[in-house]
Amino acid sequence: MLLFLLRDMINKIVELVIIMTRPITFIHAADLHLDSPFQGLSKLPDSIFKEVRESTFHALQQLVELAISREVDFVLLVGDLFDHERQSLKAQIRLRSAFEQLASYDIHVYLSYGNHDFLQGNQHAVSYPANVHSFPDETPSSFTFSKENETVKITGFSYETNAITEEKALQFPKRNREAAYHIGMLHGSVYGDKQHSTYAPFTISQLTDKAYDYWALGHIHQRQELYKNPPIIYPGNIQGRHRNEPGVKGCYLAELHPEQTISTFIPFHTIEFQQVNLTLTENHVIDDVETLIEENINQANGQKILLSIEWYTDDVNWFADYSDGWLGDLIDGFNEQQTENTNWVYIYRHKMTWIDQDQLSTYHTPFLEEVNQAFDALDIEKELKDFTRQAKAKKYVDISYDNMQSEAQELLYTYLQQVKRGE
Amino acid sequence: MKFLQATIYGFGKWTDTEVDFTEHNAASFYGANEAGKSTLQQFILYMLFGLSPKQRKFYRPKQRTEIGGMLHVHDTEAGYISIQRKEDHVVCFLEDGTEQDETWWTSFLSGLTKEMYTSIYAFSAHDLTYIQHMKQKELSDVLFSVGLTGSTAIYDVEKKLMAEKEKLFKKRGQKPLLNQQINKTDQLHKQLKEEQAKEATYHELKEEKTAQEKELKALQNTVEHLQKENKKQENIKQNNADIHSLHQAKKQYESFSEELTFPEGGRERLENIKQKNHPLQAEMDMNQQKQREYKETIQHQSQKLLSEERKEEAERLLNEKTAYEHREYVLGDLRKELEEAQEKRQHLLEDLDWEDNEAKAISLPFHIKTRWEQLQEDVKENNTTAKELNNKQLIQEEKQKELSQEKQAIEENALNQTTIDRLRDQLNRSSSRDDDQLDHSFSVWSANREKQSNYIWYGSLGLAILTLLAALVTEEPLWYLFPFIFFILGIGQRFWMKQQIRGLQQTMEPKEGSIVLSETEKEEAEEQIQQFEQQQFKWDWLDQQEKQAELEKNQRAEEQRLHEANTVQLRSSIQQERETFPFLQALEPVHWLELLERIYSLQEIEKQIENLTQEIENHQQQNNHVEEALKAYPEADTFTEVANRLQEHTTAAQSIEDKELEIQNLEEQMSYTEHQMKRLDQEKSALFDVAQVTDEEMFYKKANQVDEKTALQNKIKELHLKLQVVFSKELLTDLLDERPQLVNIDQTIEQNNEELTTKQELIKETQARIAQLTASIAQLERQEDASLLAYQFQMEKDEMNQLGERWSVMQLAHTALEKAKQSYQAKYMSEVIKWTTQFFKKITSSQYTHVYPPTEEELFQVEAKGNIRYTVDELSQGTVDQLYVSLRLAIAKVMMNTYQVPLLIDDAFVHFDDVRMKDALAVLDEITKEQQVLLFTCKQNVREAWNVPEMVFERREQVTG
Repeated sequence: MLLFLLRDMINKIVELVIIMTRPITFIHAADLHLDSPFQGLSKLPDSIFKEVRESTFHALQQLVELAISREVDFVLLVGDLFDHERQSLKAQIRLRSAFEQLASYDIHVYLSYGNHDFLQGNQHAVSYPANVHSFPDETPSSFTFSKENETVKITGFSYETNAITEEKALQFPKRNREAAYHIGMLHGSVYGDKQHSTYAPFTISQLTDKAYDYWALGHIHQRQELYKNPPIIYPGNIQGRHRNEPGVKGCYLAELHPEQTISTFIPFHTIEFQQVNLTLTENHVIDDVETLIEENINQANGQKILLSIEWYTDDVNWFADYSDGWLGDLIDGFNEQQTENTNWVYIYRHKMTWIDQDQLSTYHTPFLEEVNQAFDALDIEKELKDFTRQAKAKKYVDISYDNMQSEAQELLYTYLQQVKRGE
Repeated sequence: MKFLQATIYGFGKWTDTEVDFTEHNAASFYGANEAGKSTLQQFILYMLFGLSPKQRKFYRPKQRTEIGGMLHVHDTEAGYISIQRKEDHVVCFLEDGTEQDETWWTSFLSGLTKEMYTSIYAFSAHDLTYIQHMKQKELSDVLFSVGLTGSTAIYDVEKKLMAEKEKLFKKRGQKPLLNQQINKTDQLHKQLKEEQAKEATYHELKEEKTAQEKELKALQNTVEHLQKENKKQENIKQNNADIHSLHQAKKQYESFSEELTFPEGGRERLENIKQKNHPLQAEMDMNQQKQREYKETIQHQSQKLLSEERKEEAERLLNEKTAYEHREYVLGDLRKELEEAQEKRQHLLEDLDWEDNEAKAISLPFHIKTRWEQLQEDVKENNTTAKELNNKQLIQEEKQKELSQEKQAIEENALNQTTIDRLRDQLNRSSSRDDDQLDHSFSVWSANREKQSNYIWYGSLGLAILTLLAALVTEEPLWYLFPFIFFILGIGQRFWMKQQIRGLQQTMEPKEGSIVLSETEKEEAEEQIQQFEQQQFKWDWLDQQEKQAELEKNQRAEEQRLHEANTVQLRSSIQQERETFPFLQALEPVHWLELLERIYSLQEIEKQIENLTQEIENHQQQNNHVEEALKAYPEADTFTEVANRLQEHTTAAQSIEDKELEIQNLEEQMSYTEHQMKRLDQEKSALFDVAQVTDEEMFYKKANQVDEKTALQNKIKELHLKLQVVFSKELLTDLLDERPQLVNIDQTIEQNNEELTTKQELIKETQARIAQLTASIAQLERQEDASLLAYQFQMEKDEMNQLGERWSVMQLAHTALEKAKQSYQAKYMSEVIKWTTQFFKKITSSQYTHVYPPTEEELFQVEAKGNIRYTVDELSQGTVDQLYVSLRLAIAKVMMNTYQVPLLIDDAFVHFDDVRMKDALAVLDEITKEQQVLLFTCKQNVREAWNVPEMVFERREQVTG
């Protein structure tokens, strides 16, 4: 009895000590792109389509729940919360209700607007609750967060228009010495990143020079930890929206300590884009196909997957089957089964490449050489103008010419091969 | 490359055969049909490119299980090579003796395929017939595509691509998939735009809502203002009378002359002065009255006063009064005491039976009491002694008498000695001792003695041990002596005791010769003896007692003598005293002390009486003096009267003094009052001065004027206060200036009410609009149509682009194919045409001089002599064949630069006449200069016409399955 009481007391004291010594914690997320439609998906079944539509909000909800369950002090959202080019009132309304939910737990939100949700382009301008603090313009400014005796300076800026090309990092103030901690919020691209449009470019040394405790970045959708101490982090977006945003998505949970900032990636249960490369040989039979797919899916518990399969084969029969759409039917069957699962795997894209390198490389027939030369000389844009400049279509055309030549080449060889075999 | 020799292990008709292609560049193979010419050609192709299993099965010889063979070739770069093939296994034996596998061989061929070989470097009569059936346009195509990749393949692919492309998309189509998808996408986009436009109104709605709310607020403010204004007007209306009277009062007030000098609160102050003066006057009057009364009292009282001497006399007497009274009291007591003392004395005298004053004369020495006390004691003792002696003597005599009586009794009763002796003798002889009595005493004694002895024994033994221990401790030799001594002593005394007892026992031993007696006799005897002995013992004891008594009698006689001597001496002492004090004569010495006591008392009382008498006399004398003095005081004989007189005097004097004091007070008071009255008078004059009046009447008149002004002022103030509650200061000022008319007020109120109604109506409208807007906003917030459409649009758009990409790929493939074809043709066209012309000219013996390639519209054309052009369909079969051969040879010639391989010609000149055949062969000769040509023919004339090494094949019996 006494022991129990003592234990209780110790527990309470420990709890109290924990509460008293609890460091300042926050969540860092960016590029929410709420309600921004997924790309590259077509003909989704209704149930999955519905889930896909909700997925960005689902991720947002997970973020909110995480913030609440971890009792964080504030949440940093570094730009591109939604897309102006895909205006959605729903996005803003849901965001507002998420903020309201956070407000009810006294969790503050510091947000900056990025190149997709820049200030001037906002048509809806839903007003947020008082716990939300947004950076008002392109000049870096600071908010102060206080907890007990500790203060945190949070410096950031918002995009007023859809592009900023100056080096914004240089305009950030030096570390505030009066505050216990200083955090920078920057929506932009690090120099050297070629995949993304260059906005508010910076170098890592420009950031480390400021001697902040944490750099919360945004803009690049692929999660990246650019620097360890202080952490300079791209948290990536919270939900992948096309096949170029594959992998696990989530946010960063950070704890501020005087000597260092500890940051941990917290994955969300989102719909994940995955891609697998599968090779079919003449040894494979049709029954192997499904097994081969299933073996190569990397599905974590509770995960829903949008799968893209790149088939490779050196067997012309497989290729012929694929061209005939036979494999496509098989995949449709697979997808149909999956719609009944809660944690589905949906193959939204598949493509087969026939690797007959020997033939293509060794048969330097005069005509094939001529064909290759013809391909090289093609003015793709001009050749496709019937479609791309079509009055109605031209507004929506969004095709990549990158691999088109090789694909066409492949197709032509395949056809020539097929025709010849058929002889 | 040149074929040198073929070694056939087994292939079709051919088994274990060697075919020599000679070292020349040209060779002809003659044989009838079924001679195995085609099989040989197939063998060569098999050696070079292999065969499919199906084809291998076809060419497998009947008598052999496997097909195979070896082809020996010479290449200008690689030298001699022997290609050995068994079934599909290839080994190449090189000039340097190394062996290589199929891979090496394939790369050696550098892309030359069987198809290419057969289409470029091999042609036969079959090809010609095939061409015959071609349509014109196709013929043109084929002519140009021959030996490229297979003309038909390209053509098929082209057609396929076109068909698929068109299935997907047509530039102006509606049905193809992509066209449909574009329309769908566009449709969705329009819907999306509509929805987005709706959502875009959200902002407008919100702005409008804000504006409306602002307007509502403004309206509400206006209403509020109007309501306030009305309330104000109502107030004005209600207070209009007051406003007017205030105005009136103010006007009236202003009419008073500016300077109405009057002291502040003048009336009150005057009243006050008057009020204050009044009691002062009354007080003055009263005090004067009092003064008079007091003076009369003083006069009256002064008659009661005593002269100074008298007063002192009285006081002195009264001072004596206490002492006097005390003395009187003491005298009483003293007399009583005296009386008591005299009475006591009388008693004592009577007791003693003495004459008065006898006692006084007696003088007694101080020690008399002690002496008499001793004497009294002695007498008492003497008497006691006498009495005791007498008593003792009586007891003695009695005792002696008793003893002798007892003695006598025993003597009479006792048995005589002889009887006893006899009895005793009898007894002693018959039994042991039976003298119990004695025995008993003895045993008691001996027991005691023994006990005593035991004590001594143990004591000495203890001492012996102690001393022994002591000796042992001290180790002093002398000490050893003591235990020994004690032990000896103990033993000794014990021994002595035992001896003693034994002695006694022996005396009691029964005598010898006793007679045996019967028990009864014995008992009797014993009893008798016992009795005797008892009596004997008692007698002895009595005798002893008698002797003792005698001794005591003598002693007492001595005592008697001594007593008598004492008595004589005592009597003489008493006599002596009696002589000294005659009053003792009659008295026993025993009472002397008592007498002495009484004498002492008497003497004391005497003395007391004397003292008392003296004291009484003293006191009496003093009081007598006082009484005389009292009698001497006039008008009073007693202390009381004197005291009364004095009291009267004192009272009067006090009264006079009081009154005088009061008169003095009164005078002071009156003087103060007078002063006050004077001051009030001054104040009053001051008031008059200020009021600029000379008398009270004028003063009051002026006072009334002032009051009237003040009343007005108050009224103004009061009205002001009242109105200020209702109106602001500024408004009040305005109102006093304007003094609004009731009519105007009513009019204003009415106007305001009208405006109010309008505004309230507007408020209602605005509120309704706001509610509507709020609902719209809420609905928009709830709606997800735009979001859904955005997703759908995205999906359809993606689908469209996917289809578009597919189309694009086909489009590109198609275009590239077309372009390649064109460029290929363009590239080789002139060369091929040049050589075709040359060869055709030669074959036709210059009948035709030019060959023109086909254009978009035109077919192949040839120009005959005289510049006449013919299209191919206008030519005879033979000429077409010749053109074809020319074309093939030209192509082979052109392609020679790419692959230098032997040319296989199988009866291509079937339709040629002899002349043209020879010309054709001449062309072949020309070709053989650069390239090996193998000609297979079944025509004797061809065989003969071409002068080259030849091989003749017999017709083969055995035909492959």
